[in-house]
Amino acid sequence: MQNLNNFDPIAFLKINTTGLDEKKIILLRTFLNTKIGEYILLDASGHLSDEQVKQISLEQDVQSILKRLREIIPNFDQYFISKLSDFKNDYQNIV
Amino acid sequence: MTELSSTEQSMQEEASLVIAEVQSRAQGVVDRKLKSSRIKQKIVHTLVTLALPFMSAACNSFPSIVNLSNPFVESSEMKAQRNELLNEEQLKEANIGIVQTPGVKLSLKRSVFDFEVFKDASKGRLKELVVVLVDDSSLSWNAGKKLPKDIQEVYQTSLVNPYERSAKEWTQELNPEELKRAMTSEAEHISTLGTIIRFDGEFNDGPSTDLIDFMEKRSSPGEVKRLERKIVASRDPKLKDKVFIFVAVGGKRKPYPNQSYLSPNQFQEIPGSHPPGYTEGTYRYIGPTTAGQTLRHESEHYYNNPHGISSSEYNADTGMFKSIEDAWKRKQEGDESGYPFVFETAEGVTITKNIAQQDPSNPAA
Repeated sequence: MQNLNNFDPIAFLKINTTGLDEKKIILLRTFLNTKIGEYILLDASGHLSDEQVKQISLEQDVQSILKRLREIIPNFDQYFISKLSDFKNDYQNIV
Repeated sequence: MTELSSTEQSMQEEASLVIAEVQSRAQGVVDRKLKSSRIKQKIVHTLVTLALPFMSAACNSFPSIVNLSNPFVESSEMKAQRNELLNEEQLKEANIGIVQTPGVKLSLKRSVFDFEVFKDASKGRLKELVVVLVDDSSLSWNAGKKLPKDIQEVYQTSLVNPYERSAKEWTQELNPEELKRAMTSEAEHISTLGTIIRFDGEFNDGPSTDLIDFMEKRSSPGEVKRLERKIVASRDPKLKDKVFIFVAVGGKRKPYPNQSYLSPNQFQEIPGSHPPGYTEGTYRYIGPTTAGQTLRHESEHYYNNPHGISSSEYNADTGMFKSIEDAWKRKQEGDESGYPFVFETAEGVTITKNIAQQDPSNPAA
């Protein structure tokens, strides 16, 4: 169990960071968080109508996006966690 | 320039390969998702730019612990001092919760129990003490929107929503345009960097109806609304006997390693400062306003004895200064336990960094 506020994609994906210096680890963490964010947003867009996708893409404030997604996708929190797991599975199985 | 040994070169090459492999796999996962997606390229581009802030906001919006079966890894600097720091289980046992931000992680040394509020939490005299890091340069109304929803409700009990104020609530008469500007400005930034919100003991009763009546008579709808929020929260059984400390750690308030090891000689007593007497007391010291110093100050606001030592700004500042004085003295004797608040950011570890690695132009930091 962990608090998602501390979510660390490196730990989540079980990446061995031995030999990596601190700066590289931080950059890698940011890169992975970005890719996971892209993955979830792309997946979420599949649950929305074209109009809803367009509206979300016009939002400047991520809090508003989050609010909209929570309104549209039932049990968004559970969905978000399951997408994290999906990303992990895809990551581990990609060839 | 220092030349690398062949072993070091080989390690660096290996590290670069690891990074390239990870990046390629992660990008591959996203590319596959993109292929199966039907959305237009223009919109994809927009979503991509939102991805990182979206992840931060989404992760931060979870109010409680979730089941992810992977541990949070820590940096090598943190690993080196892991024995001194309270782990997740120990924090839970001590009834201490920490709400982190995407860019700043706070850890606590065992010596944090020297502070009364942390000690009372660990002894079960409080149901929980929650330290909330706020990803903003001040504790403004808008900054609260970045917090998890359940924490947001607590946060908003300490603040007037600027948009609920009336013109009379401002210190001067403002025309509608000026009023709008003032509201927007206050919503974005205020001078508060830390605050303590209590739902324990006598604080659990919430504000009195007399106070609300008084504020209503003064035409202070913003303050009345705040008091009403406070009453609702005070009656919430989930919050009973809990204490929350909020600290701004975003923007220019982000902790930096060269702020480590504050010393008393960085503080000056404010001329004319005075304890509360017939009039309200004042702040007592001026010095570096670091996240650690703010945490000390807010912790010193807490008191829990039947004699009711005042929790005024003057006394909280006095307690903060004494704790730094004591910490510095102990540090000269080789004991760093007086610095229990450890912040980890992309720039490194603040408070506990090895002093030899610090900026020599600021040796006392």
